[in-house]
Amino acid sequence: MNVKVRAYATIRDVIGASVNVTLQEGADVERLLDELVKLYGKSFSERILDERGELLPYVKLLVNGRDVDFLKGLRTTLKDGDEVALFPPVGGGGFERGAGLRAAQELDFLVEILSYALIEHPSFDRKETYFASSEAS
Amino acid sequence: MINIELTAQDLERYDRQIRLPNLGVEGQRKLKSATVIVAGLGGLGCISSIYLAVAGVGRLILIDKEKVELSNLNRQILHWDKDIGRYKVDSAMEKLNQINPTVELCGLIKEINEENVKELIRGSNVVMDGMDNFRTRFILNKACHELGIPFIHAAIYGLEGRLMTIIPGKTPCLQCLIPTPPREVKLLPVLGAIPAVTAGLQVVEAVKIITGMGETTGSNLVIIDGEFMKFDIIKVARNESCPICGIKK
Repeated sequence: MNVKVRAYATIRDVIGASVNVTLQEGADVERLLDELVKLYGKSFSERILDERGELLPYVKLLVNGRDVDFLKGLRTTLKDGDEVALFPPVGGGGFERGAGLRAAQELDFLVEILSYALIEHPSFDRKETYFASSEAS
Repeated sequence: MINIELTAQDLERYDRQIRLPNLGVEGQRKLKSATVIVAGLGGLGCISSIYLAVAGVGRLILIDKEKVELSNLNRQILHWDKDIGRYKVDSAMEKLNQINPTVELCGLIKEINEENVKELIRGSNVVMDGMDNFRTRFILNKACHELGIPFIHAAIYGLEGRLMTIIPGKTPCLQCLIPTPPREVKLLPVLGAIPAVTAGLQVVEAVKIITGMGETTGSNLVIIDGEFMKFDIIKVARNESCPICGIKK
């Protein structure tokens, strides 16, 4: 069966606005997320799941417009043609704390150097490093 | 709210909105008697303060601790090229005063924190979320709940805007929606028109709260998906165990 996944904000940056996933009949939301983790790796899973593999409490996951919190959570069964939407929280809108353009460029430059240095390393995640360094600034 | 009388000038300045059947002279008087907090003068706060000022809200309290940077100028339209390096509060007050000199402006160059939040917002009728981080939003959400002040949450990312009006005791609060603080994303992407649209809707909510017109978002989170020009609505449930507003907390 096929389900359509629609993604928003930071999750859209990783998997695109929508993606069709083929699953076995009777698969649940957890199976779908496993499949997406297989396809998109850590940058997807860290935006969706906590360290125990549960849905992060601030990520909204809707099946056909209904929040899975009101269905059976990750155990919610999917059927052919279902539409699953993933909404991470969004926090922008105001003033920027500290780092200005120059700091951003410097960071980007640093990240570029780091990415060249670490590009061969399988666990390297550019975004992770970027956010970690900019938070530390 | 103290009810202040409208002048002949007010009646002319606000004529087009006084013509709204559910606003009228009485609604305009309520707006003139109201105090609104604009928390943050970034992409959202620049727009919301402009439209609150032109709508004739009597008193605006503008809070921001930052100075204008070049990279703000793609969206923070109260701050101009000449303002780089000035406090945002100073830059915003100069323009807002010219846009509508009849509005009383109070600018505070301050960081909102757990210690000062209540003294900053006490006595206001509405708090506008114009923050850039979850931490301060959580502080505002809690204080608004405790003081019974409506908090209009707005946030943006890229081509996406989010809006949820929180009415203490009636709707879910921000922590029902976002129970634990997510990782903060710095230097996020944004097209200037997105906070403009989102903050414009935020002002519609504020004017409705003050005048009693229409209905606010209720238990819905509104998502403005600018990339595909769609509005999504997510139903948010009140969390009975919410540490802020839950009945079982």
